[in-house]
Parts: sequence; C-alpha cells; structure tokens
Amino acid sequence: MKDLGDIAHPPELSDGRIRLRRLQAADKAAVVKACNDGLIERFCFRVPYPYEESDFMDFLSYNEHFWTSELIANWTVVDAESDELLAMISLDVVALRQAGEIGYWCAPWARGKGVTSAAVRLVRDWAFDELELERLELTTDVDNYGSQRVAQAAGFRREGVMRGYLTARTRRADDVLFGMKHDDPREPVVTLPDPRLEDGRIVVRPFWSEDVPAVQAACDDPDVARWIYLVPSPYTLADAESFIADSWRCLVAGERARLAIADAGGEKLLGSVSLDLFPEREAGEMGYWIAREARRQGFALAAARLVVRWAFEAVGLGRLEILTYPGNAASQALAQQLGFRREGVLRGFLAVEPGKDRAGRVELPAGADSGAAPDSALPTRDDQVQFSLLRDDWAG
Amino acid sequence: MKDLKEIEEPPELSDGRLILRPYRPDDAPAVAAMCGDATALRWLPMPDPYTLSDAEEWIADAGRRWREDRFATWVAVDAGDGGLLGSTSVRIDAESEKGDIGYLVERSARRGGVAKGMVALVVGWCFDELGLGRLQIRCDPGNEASRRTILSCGFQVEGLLRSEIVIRGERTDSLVASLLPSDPRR
Repeated sequence: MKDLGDIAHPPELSDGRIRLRRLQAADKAAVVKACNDGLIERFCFRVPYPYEESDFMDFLSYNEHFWTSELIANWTVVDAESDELLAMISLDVVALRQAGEIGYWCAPWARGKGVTSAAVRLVRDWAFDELELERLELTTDVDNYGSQRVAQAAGFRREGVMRGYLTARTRRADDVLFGMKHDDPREPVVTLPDPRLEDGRIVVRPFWSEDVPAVQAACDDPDVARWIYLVPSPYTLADAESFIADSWRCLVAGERARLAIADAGGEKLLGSVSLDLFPEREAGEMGYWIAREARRQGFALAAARLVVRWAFEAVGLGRLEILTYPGNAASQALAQQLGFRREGVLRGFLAVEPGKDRAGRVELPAGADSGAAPDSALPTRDDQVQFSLLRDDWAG
Repeated sequence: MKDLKEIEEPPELSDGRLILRPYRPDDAPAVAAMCGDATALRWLPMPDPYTLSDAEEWIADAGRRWREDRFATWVAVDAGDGGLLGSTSVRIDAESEKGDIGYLVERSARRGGVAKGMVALVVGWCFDELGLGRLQIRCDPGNEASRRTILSCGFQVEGLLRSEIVIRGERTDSLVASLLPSDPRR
C-alpha cells in the first residue's frame, strides 16, 4: 500500500461521461432533494431522514476533514458535461487491512443508467492502482437488489450474507458482503443483463417492494392459483413479500427473471412474466399471470414478446419453453400467437397441491361439463402441454 | 414422497445379475475408458476427450451431487465378477416429485440387456421406495439403442423436444418418454 500521507486530498476522477469531484456548497439543493427519497431512507441508514438543509451543511463541513482525519475519500458524482449531481460515493480506507470499503447512493433521477456502477469502477481503479490496496468490499442490504447489481457490474463477487449485520434506523438488517481482490478480473460478474424492457405501452421491470399490495391483490384470485403451480391460495401480503424477495434473490443469482409487467409509466402493476433459466442447455421456461382487471387487453402477449426478444438477443438462449395445464386454453393460444410449437403432453408432470381447486386443469372430453368433476375423480398428478420456440425459428 | 434428507446416499440395488452401487475412487480408470468411448461421447454431454482426471472429479463429486442437487449416480457391476458394465443416474425434482433417468453402457457389455436392467432397478427404487409420481428419460432421436431401452422398459414417448440440449456447443433434439406408477412395468 502507498503511503497515504502523500495524498493531501483525493483527486478528481472521470471516465468522460461522469466526473467524481469534491462536494461544493452549491450542491445543497440537489443533495437535499436526492436524500429525501424512499429508497435512500430505506437502504442508506447513515443518511439522515428527513434530510434538512442543516444536514447538508454539517456534511459539507465534515467532508473537508474526512480524508485527513479518517481516511475517508468522498466524491460527488456529476455529469461530466452539465455538472448535474447524479450520485455520491465514498471510499473508507482501513489501513490496518490494506483494504477499503465503498459506499454510495444514487439520486432518484439518475437511476437505471449505470451511473453508480461507473463511479464504483473509477473508485475501484484508483484504490487498487493508485493507493495499491489489496482488497475492496461493499455491503448492501439483502433486499437492495439495485445495489447488488451495481456491485456485480463493477466486478465484485458475492461472498456471503452477514445476518443481523447492522441496525438500519429501527430494524436489524441482514447484509450481503461483496468483495474484490486487487488481482481479480475487473469485468462485470455476469448474471443476467438488465431486465427493463419497454414497447411504449408497457414496461417489464424487476419487482419493487412498492408492488407488494398489488401482487397480493392480483394473486389472491382463483384463476391465478389454478393455473400457476405453487402459487398459494389464499394469497397473503406475506406471500407477496416473499415472492418479491425471492424474485430479487433469483435475479441476482442469475437463476430466474421474475418480472413485473407495468403500464408505460412503470407504476401500475398489470401482471408478471417470468423466465426460468437452464444454463447447461441454454434454454429457458416462460410463465406469466395477469391481474384480473388487466386481462383481455393483450398485456400478456406484449410482455411475452418483450421477454422472448430479451431471452434470445440479450440473454443468448437458443430455446424457450412454455408448459401449461391441458385445460388452460388461453395460455396455449398465447403460446401459439408467439410462434411456439406444441411438442407433446408430459404425463403427470406436476404433483397435485393439497387444498387447491383443480377444476378445469384437466382437459375434459368435448361436451363434458368442465369444472363439474369432483376432486376424487381427478388424476393424482397433473399433465403439462409442452411448447417450444427456437431462436433459429424466431421471426424477430 | 419420502423425505430425501433421510437418505444419506443412494443405496446399493441389485437384481441378482447386476449390482448398482455408489462410485468408488478405484473405479476411475474403468469409468474414464467407458466415458471416453466414441459412441458414449456422441450422445452425452461429457468432455471430449474424457480423461482420467475427468473421471476422478466426477467420482469425487458424487456425495455433493446427491446432497445438493438430488442427483443420484451409480455404477453397474456384474454381480458375479464385479466388472464394470455401465452407469446410471436419476435427477430428482423433489418439488414436483419426479425424476429424470440417464444411463450409459460399457462398450463390451452392449446388447446384453444391461441398460434395461439398470433402468428397472432405478424405476423400482424411485417408485417403490421414494414414492415419486413420474419418471422420464430423454434421448437423442437418432440413438437406436436408447430408444429400444426406453420402449422395452415400458416408457411412453411423449414428444420430440427440438434443440433441447447442448452437447459441446451443438444443439440437439431429445425424445422425451415417461413412466407413471400406474403404467404397466416390464
């Protein structure tokens, strides 16, 4: 490690698009506006909330001494051309371990554009190449999916979950530890490319905790329970919370993209579309559900089209599959509209879920009164009709 | 279905002629020879060339495969002289209580009913001991020997899955066939 006494103040860093510079008094209005944001309140527990102008003035005065007194380098991240404030980033050097801890927040107006990842890369390179640190770390709340994506994009590896790591305002939080050694590859740790897909009418994006009530309302519906394997019935708020938490975990791990379908503004939840990945055979399985009031408006088809394109072009899969219950005519029609081909009926493919109404899952002979069959007359397992679409057959 | 946590490792299974037993470190040379065979490599997604260290890694990983992936793997040996006849496996999906069976027959033992014997033992364990609700086998539609095995074990062909798997960078089709506990076993 370099002798840090030689560095009077952390230098400006830039990649041409963004610039990391010293905090200025003129940043006050933008910092106050950014820090009064729900996600910063939730995940950046060191930032006061609500954030007052006096909080900024305190921060500005400490900031002058952070480096000399505590070896904390702090930068304001701004647009390299306009000087608009985009984010804040810090490096806390732990000299004893020749290591550094990176922390950051991103202003609400700058999210989803790779700004924070770019800032982390600049700080990372300065820490390894100029300070000659051996190791960098960053920690994020287990539920802070956006921050975990930033860590991966900057080449940090997920090393573990630290249970009950800190008290964030009123709750005790579990944190994910991300680490990077000076000789690790400085390439993104690729899991899944960023899933934010739009066609002008709808947006397909990750779920956020704000979606919990809408997910609960949409899934507490007999049709969703009937056609979606393992969807609990009745469906509680706790079920919605664990569904969303699990969707983040799977997305960060690169196992499955379980995404929200929302209106063009990205706010109103219309349904969900998912892609489960089978990496060893470069294939994926798609599924979806649509909230009752949003049905019959083509949202499932539009969302599925976006996911098909994403799966083939961005994820690089060669084959997509849809499996449906034989009685699910709507889903089979959707598969065919998407250009999927029926390959066969997989007999007894799914176990029966205790307590669930299975009426209609089974394809009854023409003319039979569907839904009238008592459960005792139904088979002990459920068949699935398998459809597939190959990248080579896809019209684009 | 039986709780798989109660099963420390897949048990030895035998029909008097064949024994399915867990891999042992000293199986490595025979496993390497079996898996390195050109016919085996044609149909299965194994490294080519298949080396002794590939076999050693595969054998050393068997305990983890079962504990973490619920992927049971055995070698088949002759009940008389203990010679290696093949290998077989079942990957269990505990959530939906089903399994996917695979198998490979040593070159010198082909056309002797070894595959059928191995599959029958695995089927018996999966349905009678574990209580699974479905077993499937997938094979390349061009693999005549495997298709014969599937049909002779009573599996029903359900469909042709196009470009379903990737074998060393090449996408290939799979036939999928299933056996349910209610189907006649042969």
